[in-house]
Amino acid sequence: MQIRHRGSQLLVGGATALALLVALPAIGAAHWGLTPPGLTPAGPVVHTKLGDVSGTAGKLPSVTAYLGIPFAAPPVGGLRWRAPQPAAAWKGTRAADHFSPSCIQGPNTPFGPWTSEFLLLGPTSEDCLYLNVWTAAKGNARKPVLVYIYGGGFSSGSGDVPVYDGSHLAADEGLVVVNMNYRVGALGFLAHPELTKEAGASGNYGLMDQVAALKWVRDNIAAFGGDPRRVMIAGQSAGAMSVYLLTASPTAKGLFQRAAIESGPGGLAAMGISTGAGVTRPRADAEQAGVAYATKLGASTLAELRALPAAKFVGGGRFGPVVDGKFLVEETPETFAAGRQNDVPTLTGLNADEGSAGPGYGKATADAFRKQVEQRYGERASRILATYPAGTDDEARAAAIQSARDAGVAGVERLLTERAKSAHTAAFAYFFDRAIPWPERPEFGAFHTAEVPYVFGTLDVLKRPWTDVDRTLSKTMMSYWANFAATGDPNGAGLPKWPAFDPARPTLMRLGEKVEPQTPLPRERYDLLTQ
Amino acid sequence: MTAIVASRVSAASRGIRTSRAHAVPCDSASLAALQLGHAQVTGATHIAAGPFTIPGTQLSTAPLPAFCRVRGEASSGAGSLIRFELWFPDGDAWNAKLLVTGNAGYSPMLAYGDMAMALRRGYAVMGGDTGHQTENPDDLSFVVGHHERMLDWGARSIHVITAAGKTIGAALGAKPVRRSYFFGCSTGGHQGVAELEAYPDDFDGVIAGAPGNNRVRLNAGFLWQYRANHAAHDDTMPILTPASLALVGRAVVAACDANDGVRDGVIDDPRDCAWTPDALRCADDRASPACLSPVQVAALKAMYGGARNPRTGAQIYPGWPKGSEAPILAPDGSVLGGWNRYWGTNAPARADFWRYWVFDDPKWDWWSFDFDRDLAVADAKAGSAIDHTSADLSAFRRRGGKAILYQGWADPVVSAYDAIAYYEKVRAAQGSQSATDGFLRLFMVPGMAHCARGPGATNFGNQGGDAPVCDAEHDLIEALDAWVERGTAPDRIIASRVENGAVTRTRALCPYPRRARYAGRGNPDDATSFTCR
Repeated sequence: MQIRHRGSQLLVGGATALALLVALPAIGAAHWGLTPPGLTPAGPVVHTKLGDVSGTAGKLPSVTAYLGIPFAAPPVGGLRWRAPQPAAAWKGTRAADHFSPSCIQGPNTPFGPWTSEFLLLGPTSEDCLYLNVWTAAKGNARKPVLVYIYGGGFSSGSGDVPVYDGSHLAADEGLVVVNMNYRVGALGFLAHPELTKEAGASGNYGLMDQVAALKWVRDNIAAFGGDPRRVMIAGQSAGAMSVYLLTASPTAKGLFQRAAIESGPGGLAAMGISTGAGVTRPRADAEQAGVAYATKLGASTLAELRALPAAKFVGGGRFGPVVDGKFLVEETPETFAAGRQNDVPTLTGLNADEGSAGPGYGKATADAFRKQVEQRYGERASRILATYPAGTDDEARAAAIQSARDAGVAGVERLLTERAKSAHTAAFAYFFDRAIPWPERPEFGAFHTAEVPYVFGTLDVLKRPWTDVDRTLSKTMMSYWANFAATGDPNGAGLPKWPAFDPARPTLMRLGEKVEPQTPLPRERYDLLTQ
Repeated sequence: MTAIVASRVSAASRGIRTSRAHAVPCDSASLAALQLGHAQVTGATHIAAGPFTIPGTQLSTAPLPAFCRVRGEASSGAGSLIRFELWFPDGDAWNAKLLVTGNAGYSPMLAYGDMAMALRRGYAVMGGDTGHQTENPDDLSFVVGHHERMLDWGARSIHVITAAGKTIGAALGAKPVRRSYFFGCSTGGHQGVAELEAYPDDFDGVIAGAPGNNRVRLNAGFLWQYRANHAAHDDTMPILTPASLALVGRAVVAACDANDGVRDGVIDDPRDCAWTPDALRCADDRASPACLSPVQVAALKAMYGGARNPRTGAQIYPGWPKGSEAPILAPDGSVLGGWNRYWGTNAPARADFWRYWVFDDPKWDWWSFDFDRDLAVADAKAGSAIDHTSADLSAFRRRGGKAILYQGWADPVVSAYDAIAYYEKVRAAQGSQSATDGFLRLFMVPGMAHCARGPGATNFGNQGGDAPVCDAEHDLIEALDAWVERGTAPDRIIASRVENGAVTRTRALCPYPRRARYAGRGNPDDATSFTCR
């Protein structure tokens, strides 16, 4: 959408092209920086395999952002619930200067600690398979690449979320940062016998989108100054689950060289989510749920389902990854046990207050805590209650928080201990316990997703009374993540030494007011919590 | 036809800064010392000749002569902050005139492309941010808790910065600003009309394209079109897809193109087009890509009909003309215009206007909107602040001001019928065509979309670029200048169609209600084969 008279001395003709875009940019969208009439993009044009793109200014002067690049054909009409198909090539220069719509999902309403900076900005559309690139690389640089996969419970999320802005990692750490939109909810994960009949498998379309984006990175990122042989995938929550599953999927083999799992499998034991069954479901279950879902929508055939408007598929069920026989051929722990995983250096961890968005967090009474433990731990309850005594309500509050933290730490330790049995690459574990400064809402602490703005260096997107502790921590974490992307090891000059995970002495690195290795969880607690 | 303004540019580029006896130099301290009333210069930088990259962006202008870039802040009253820039050409290049540019949409961005175009011709040029500083041009929540920003956005910001600009220009040039003009389209057109109406002394001449001055109703029109184009409460799929709108566009042109005597893919006056959507209705009501379903026919009729009050039947905002439907695609395949861009998405265009400017409710539901009751709420809440539809422009006429309005017939944003309605209202107030012609002329542009582009001859110095021939017969600013300076009113303007840098067609644009009529012989791609009647 830029003026196509680059290099001409005068803007004749075509110069008037863009009035209407600026006068009325795409409706409600975050269409920032559309090229206005009479001006030409001064940023470099990048040649991708499908066509040329011109970018827009990133949040920092040295950074160019290329937003809304198609990596697959729009998954609409007959392509709904199909593996992503190749995007069409284009002629001329595509103005990659605004985010695409996000994939179809319900309204993102601020909730608990997740204020609008953690939520998508723009409109949604079924036509959503676009990715974004932030780069400060010059010439033929071969910078390490960070591909970020958003969270959102496989039912929401977007590459346009403000705290995911890649400008700071690009400018300060020299990374080429990429994120992609992937299909979520029923449109991303519906399994159904008819779909299985059609394609030999069903479900996991959102995960296939991620793979398609990684193939785009492999084929194109060098043109943006990125090194296709040093691709780090990172994700948080459902994005972390995605990363974990990508390490297990034969379809993602060779597409990445490092993995970061933030508050995902392992760490989410703090929220009672177990590593295997909590992440994927068997195909038969998913198909059965899919049939029930379709019936509820009044659709008896796949053709009828494909004819329904996309908005019908918002809500109405829980959707997520399936052991479909193709993307995943087995439960992921089995993949690791057999050593069949895509074996790459892994960085993983959790936050101190993963469950703080829940209504009862930090408010347990002795009674409530006992009931919760009985529910979650069954026959282990009495031993848990002995380890985390909760005679009074005050004790119960502390016990509830500590037992959840320990469960998460134990979950990470177990994940990495199991991994170490077959992996030939190193792992690094962290425990993020910096409570985001938030005088009005102190109860959320180091909530689920709190580490993300620290990793991205996007603290200032949030209006919080940041201190030097926060800025130093953010800088440290950015460096760890960038070093890890570059070499597979987060350590580097000027940073506290982060020991690789050792099952014999399972240490997590504390990322908080202090950055230092933590004392491992007492053995008996680990055993008790991971039985 | 391809001669360009090269000589002007190079002449200006050669301008060398010469010290004048009393000129204030281009530096922050000297300019900050100027007494500007409700404004203050905050910085000034001398920019060498060449393409100028707008700081903070990756956008460049065409090559410019050397100039002084002045930045400042103005205020129209309590709580108001308007940032502006003034670019002043070096040395003898200044023509002693000031040209103020308008804005686009609800964006704070300056029309740098327009500023560059006029600077190259020797004007001191300026633009402001409408009085709000939000990064996202689509963020309309800037008025929440700041009613003054609503007032600034539509009118006051231009008034306030213009006053400052006249003083700054005089200081830098060591002589008074002899003439001041306004140049804008869309929201810029809105601002231009607001100036005619509310601040008639600001400008000697005003160019206002596709004026969105009937703003509350314009947004109501958007809402009407959106709802007509969607099944109730279903935001996911437009009834008329881009493909069906392209089908309609082709059918309309096929049916009505020849009405004007020239088959050129352009309907010169859609009012002559009798085509109705029933012509495309599928024979047995079975949907097919080659025809329209009954639901699509009904939606199309509702959209041609435009917004009406459900109780009184009164027209709220006219429908959009035939010929404005089809998607306009950029070479990269992205959609630049057409109905689908504005009403084929999954939220109404300018939903945030209703959320933040009218109802103060981020959760406002457009399906609940009542075109009787709720429109009255909108009129009361925002109408007095932002609508500029008064027919009384006599103060501007009395002071000798001249104004050129222009409007694309194929505009899918501002309905051509609304621009005509406003013009006719002013003419009625003036009492005669000749009285109106003496100071205000409206040029309808066949086949032009919003402010620019489209299948017609749409290049006449209207936005962001010079006309292929830079004289009073081909270029809006030159035409206005000739009218103001020499009293030579624009009896026609020759618009060009430029494809791949070459002029492929010229056409006469005529002052409304006259139209360009083909003489029946001669090259139909040459404006001289047409007369205004």
